Amino acid sequence: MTTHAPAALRPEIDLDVCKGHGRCYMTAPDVFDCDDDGYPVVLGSATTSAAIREVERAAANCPEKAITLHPDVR
Amino acid sequence: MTELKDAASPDIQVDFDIHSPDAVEKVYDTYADLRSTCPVAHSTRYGGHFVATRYDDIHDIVRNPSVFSSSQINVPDSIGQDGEMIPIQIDPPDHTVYRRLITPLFSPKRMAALEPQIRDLVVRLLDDMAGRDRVDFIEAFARELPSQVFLALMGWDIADAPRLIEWVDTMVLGVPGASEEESLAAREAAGMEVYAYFAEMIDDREESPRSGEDEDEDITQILMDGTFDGRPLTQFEILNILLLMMIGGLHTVQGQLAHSVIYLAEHPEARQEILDDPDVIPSAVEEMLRYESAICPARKVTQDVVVGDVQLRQGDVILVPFGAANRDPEKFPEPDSVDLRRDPNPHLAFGAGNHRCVGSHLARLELRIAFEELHRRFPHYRLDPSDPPVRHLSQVKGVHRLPLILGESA
Ligand code: HEM
Ligand code: SF4
Repeated sequence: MTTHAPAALRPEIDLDVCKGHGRCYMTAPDVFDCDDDGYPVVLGSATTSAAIREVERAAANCPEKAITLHPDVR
Repeated sequence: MTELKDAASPDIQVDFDIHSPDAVEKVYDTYADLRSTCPVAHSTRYGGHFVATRYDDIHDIVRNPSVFSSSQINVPDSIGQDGEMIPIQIDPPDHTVYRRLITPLFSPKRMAALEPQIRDLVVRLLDDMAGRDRVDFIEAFARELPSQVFLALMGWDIADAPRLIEWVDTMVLGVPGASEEESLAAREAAGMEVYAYFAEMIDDREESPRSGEDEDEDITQILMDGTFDGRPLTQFEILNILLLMMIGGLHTVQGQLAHSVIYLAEHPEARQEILDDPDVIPSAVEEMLRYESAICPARKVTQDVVVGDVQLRQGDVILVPFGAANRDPEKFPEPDSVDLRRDPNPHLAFGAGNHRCVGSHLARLELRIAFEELHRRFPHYRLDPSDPPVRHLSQVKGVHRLPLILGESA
């Protein structure tokens, strides 16, 4: 157990707002996959510091502002 | 509360002509001026239209199709198409139904499967450039690649590329410098030839269909088997969808390739960054898309609405240059400099909202492969100072001619 375990982030995608640009799954392939039509699928929360950085970048690069990040306390 | 301005207010009138051959060299300066002095401006050209230049305004407009309709996306209204181009001139709810059919045709997974075939086309074009110390990059590469990819996707003959290229040039650019009437006549004539060609391709297919072996189905066949709310697509719909895929997929990629190569020819340090670390390419592709966002569609206002401090009225037309949005300093620090690793980079080169470019996954793939193979093969190239690139504006900014000297660096 490390005392500096990074907080986890759980991404939520508003699929009414998302238009399938794909910037999220290109930027954070460990956190997002895409379905057969090109819309994103959340694989899970970002739990490592690398994944957290990726998912934050994905949210900032989404041209539709469709991604919200929630602290995931466990 | 400041008072609202409108189309008649003298202080928002600007002499902006999106089709003027003279406007292209300094268009980003023009947008910057407008953004800082008059972010919703009005031009008397083409029957009168507004021009927006702020990222946030443009973003809001394209994501609000019930107020900003796509029924008119061009100024002047026609580029020689017969009826509406599908789906780009269709508003929801019908737009949603068409996109349900078309979006999967260009999904990232379907496109990824094309990677080897596209790489093959790229390598072949580069092979033909080998041994020459000068090429017109447009003729040798940038114009060929997207047309060959389009023909391959449709399942048609790649040897037809030159014909397609000529028609699309005319439809997109009209006859630069000619009168509006002359341009329209040329566009309509080109449009007729395109429709006739497409109709021929469809007739061929009716005689010998290619459905059945799912994976091998090409786009022509999928459209011919396609439905709208349960009924088969009409030939008219199929023709207009095909026309748009062609218009949407050729000039755009050609321009993007050319703009990127011009920048990299003039900035050897940026090219070196790609040579040293090819992993930067996907992010470099995004930054070049931001830096040179070619598309400038219009929207037609369906009800009175205020943008910034300007009152727009029902029936008004507004241009939304994505190239202006993507150089907005409020959104992108140092917007006029290229940073191949820029992050975040939520650019709008492919638009936003329901009309988000359906070909964006294909375009990205073509651009990435082209960047990779071009620099593997020709790490050094520069412009020819005695024969500089010839660019054009119009609603799809682009490049006609791009003489390159291969094997030397600026
Ligand atoms: C770098 C290349 C490209 C750029 C910059 C680009 C840009 C755009 C933009 C900005 C739009 C939205 C226009 C609007 O909101 O009115 C759009 C729509 C569209 N693009 Fe592209 N495009 C590119 C490549 C392609 C390719 C390769 C295709 C091939 C199929 C394509 C097909 C389309 C279609 C069919 C639409 C209409 C989508 C709709 O209305 O729902 N584009 N493109
Ligand atoms: S980047 Fe945004 S709009 Fe694009 S697929 Fe991801 S969530 Fe959707």
